[in-house]
Amino acid sequence: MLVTRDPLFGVVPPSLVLLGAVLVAGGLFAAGMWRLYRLMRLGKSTSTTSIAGRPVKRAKGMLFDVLLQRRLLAEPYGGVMHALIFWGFAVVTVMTAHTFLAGLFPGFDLPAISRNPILLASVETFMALVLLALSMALLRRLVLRPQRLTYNADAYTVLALIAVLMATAFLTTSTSIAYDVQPWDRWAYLSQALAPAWVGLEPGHLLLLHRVSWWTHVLTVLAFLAYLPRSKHLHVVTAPLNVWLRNLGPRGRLPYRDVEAALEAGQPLGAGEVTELTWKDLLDSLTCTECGRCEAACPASSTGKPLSPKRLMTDLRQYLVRHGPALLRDAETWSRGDTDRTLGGRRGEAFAARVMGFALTVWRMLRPYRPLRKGPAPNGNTGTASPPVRPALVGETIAEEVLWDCTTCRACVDACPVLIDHVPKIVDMRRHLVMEQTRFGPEAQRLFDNLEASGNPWRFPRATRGDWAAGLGIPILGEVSVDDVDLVYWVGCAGAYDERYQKVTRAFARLLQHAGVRFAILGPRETCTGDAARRAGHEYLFQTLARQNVDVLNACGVKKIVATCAHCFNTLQDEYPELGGQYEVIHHSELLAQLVREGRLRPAQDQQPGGRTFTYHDPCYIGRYHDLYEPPRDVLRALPGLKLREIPQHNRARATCCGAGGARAFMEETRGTRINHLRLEQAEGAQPDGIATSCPYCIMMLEDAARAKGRYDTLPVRDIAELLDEWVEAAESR
Amino acid sequence: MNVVVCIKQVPDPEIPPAQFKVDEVARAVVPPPSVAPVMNGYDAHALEAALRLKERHGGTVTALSLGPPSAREVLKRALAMGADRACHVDDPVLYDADSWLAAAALARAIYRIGGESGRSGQNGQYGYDLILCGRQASDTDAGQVGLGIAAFLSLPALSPVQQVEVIENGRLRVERLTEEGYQVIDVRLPALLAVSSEIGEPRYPPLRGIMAASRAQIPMWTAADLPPLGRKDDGDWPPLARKLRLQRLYQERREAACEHVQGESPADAGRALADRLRQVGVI
Ligand code: HEM
Ligand code: SF4
Ligand code: SF4
Repeated sequence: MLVTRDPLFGVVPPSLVLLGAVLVAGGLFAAGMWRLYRLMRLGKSTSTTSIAGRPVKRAKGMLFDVLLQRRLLAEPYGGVMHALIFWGFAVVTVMTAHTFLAGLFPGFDLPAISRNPILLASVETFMALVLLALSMALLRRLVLRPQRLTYNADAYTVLALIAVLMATAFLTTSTSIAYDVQPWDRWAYLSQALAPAWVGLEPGHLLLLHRVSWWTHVLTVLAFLAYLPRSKHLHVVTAPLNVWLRNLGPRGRLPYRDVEAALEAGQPLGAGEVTELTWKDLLDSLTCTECGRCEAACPASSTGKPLSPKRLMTDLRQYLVRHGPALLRDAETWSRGDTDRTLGGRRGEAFAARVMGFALTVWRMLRPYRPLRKGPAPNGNTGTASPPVRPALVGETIAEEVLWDCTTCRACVDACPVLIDHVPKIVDMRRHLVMEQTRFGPEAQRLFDNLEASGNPWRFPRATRGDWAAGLGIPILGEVSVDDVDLVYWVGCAGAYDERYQKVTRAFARLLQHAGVRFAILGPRETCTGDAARRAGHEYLFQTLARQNVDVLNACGVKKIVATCAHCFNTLQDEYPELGGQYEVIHHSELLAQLVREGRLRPAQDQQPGGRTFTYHDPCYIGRYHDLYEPPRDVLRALPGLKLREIPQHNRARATCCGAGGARAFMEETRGTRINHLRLEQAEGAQPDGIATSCPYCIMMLEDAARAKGRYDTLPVRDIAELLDEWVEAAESR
Repeated sequence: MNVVVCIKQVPDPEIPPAQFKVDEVARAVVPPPSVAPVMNGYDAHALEAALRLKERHGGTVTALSLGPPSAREVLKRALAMGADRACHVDDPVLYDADSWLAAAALARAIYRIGGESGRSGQNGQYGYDLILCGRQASDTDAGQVGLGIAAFLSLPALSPVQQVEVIENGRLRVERLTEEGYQVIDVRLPALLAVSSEIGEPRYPPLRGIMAASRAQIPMWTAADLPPLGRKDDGDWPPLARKLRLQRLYQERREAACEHVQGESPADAGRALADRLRQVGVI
């Protein structure tokens, strides 16, 4: 590096100037990060994430989702673009670190880095690739303009900063080569190719150009650093953290709350304020890159509803950054003298806070606080003037209808490259509305009333829950001992009461009898699992229902359960263990696939001449929640004469929800267009003769859509059990 | 304003009628087992109206129910929704009450509540300002008890009511439903209003309310605890006795048969169907 050889303007040693700049930028970065850290610590502790737990799995996540950029690459254009920038940075950073050390300590030089042929060549190559990626990013933002992106100055600022970095890096090296070529310079092959461009300059000017370029480069790096905590590009730091700290618990398990204890203690029953979310929820919001992949996948956003999972995250972040400081101050005033308080109460933290206090004050003077996203200026400043009025997080910042729109389909979570978990936040805020504020629509009220009164969503009498099985020779547990059966069939509310879905229930029971599986049902002693209550935010009602069921199941000594309903399956498998219910739970698609594989069910050739083409709709609660993509398809593939054709694009993990999850099945869909119509249209894209699926609510929603579109007769919706039953019956009657 | 709301516990009206059985000997309707009784729908609307009046004008809301021990669940729900206190009247001699007996018992209970409240109502004499009840109960659909209470307590009564509004101290403006619209009537307190569902959806009780209500102590009064209304010429007015007696209760038998009419073509089938319908005399 030429620059470091001469003092700046012949007076100040450049290393001192650089040191000053590093300290300022480092201070700004540290102050910004410290502030964000403290804001994040406003959140409650979390039970689902532990930094220490399962390090191997976490390390694997780091490898795939950070280093190899697996989730980003799920979308080719944006993925390749970003991977090039990311890998480029990873490589270039080694050289940048060397540059800074050499600048700070004159005479410092590690030939293993500065003269390493492989490193030099890679740095040059990746810098070119980063420039390519930047032009891809510009093309995307200026020409392609996908809807999912957020178009703000922040994005362009960072693209510009990176462009300056790359350009000045080439300029610095090539001028250096033009001035004084070294043997190892041939590895910097691109700069060397550029160097002849400067031969016309006289040495003095060349040196000046080199110096200006070097300083621009170095100061831009520092500017980037100082800018990070004030930008979505904070993700450079938070994304790897968030990937490491990902929730490794079961996907289908919502966070448990001891409602009764909270009631006794007068504690909040849901999240109505950022302090009632967990710190991980807040870290999620600080990590969001505003890429909009979640929004593009979200059925609510896709049908024009107010909910956008991206907006949810950015609104939460904006609220945290804008109103968090006031909450921090409240907490501090309250905790003064009380060292036991968790927030800032720990001694080390309190000391660090004091040290950082000075830096913070300096920083505040330099740059009055500004929110991350554009918006109205914050009311007043941080001084002693009347405190800004804090709007409610739930209801004002995040509208109630936004929260009620969510089907908990998990498409957003699955699409998010930085592993943000939207669903528990939405449910926690619903809990606030339901249990704290008693604010919900008449349909939710009806659902709660009915579940309380009758243990099912439609208020059928409990006593008739087993009536569907009359005359089918299905034993009720109690009439037979649990030791005399292979498993218990969990029928579910739809299976027991819904006239349409009873056909599936009976078909499945017939198949079990046919295959010689010994099973029993609980009959009137079964109650709604509570899935809808829990996802609607009524945690207390969920726990009441779940405890009843766990008591019954445990009293009977049940060990193995099969469920036809995807929601029952998920709740039994993922959520009951926390309430003392440990069972082996399988979905009927798994069991049927197994019975077919073992030859215990033998489907015959399709009776319809020419055969039929079916497509398959993946229910969220067995698909994205449990990765059961193949078992139902295995069943369909085993039906001779039936052709399986996938729904274009939107199949398996990318399947769009039917619109029923998250208790939406029991509410009117008043905003935007209908999700079930969208899903039916997607399915029609496969040009099938029928749609197969494996969840009662999917059947109801898709049949409703077919009815509304006049396709009820031409596009039958069937459970895989109904189809298999039809094919097996055909074999029988031959 | 101090309001007393009369609330009846009824079999869950959402149960399909086919699930009910009729005991012809005991002359009683037997609801299916395992379905808990609920608060009568119109009474829930009455309670909602009372709670809204309290929210706007202050005062107290007292929920009153006559019935077997299970009626306490309904009273707990009323407390959870926001009633300040509840009274339960329970005595075997009052079971299977007819409208007269129910009205008599409730009127006496309200008289006692008025005396006990300690705070006299706006009118000084009564201790309550307003009595609300549902326009009718979903099990009997008689709509008699409210009017009976008003008669015993010598109060003006309006039914069915779709809106209530305080216009000045001691006077309400009430909208009373008619066949084709509604009447606007001003009524001087104390008064009794039998409320219809148009008044507004009953609220869902807040969770904290449910928990508090589950621990609440609800006083229970037997027939002996209900004071006579203090008319000088009659020491025991109104008498706690039945005036009506049900003679017969039975389930109507309905028969349905299903028959498929077929034909070669849709037109044939239509013709065959018409023939058949003429045969049985429907057309
Ligand atoms: C040195 C590290 C990194 C750098 C320099 C970097 C740089 C960038 C840049 C410049 C963008 C903006 C693209 C645009 O808005 O047009 C971006 C977006 C993004 N980054 Fe990074 N990033 C880094 C690390 C990471 C990591 C580790 C992850 C996740 C594992 C990540 C995830 C994302 C995502 C999801 C987006 C949005 C992409 C899209 O719009 O399609 N980044 N990053
Ligand atoms: S869970 Fe589904 S509906 Fe809810 S925000 Fe995510 S994508 Fe949208
Ligand atoms: S939540 Fe995830 S997927 Fe959605 S915009 Fe933010 S980073 Fe992208």
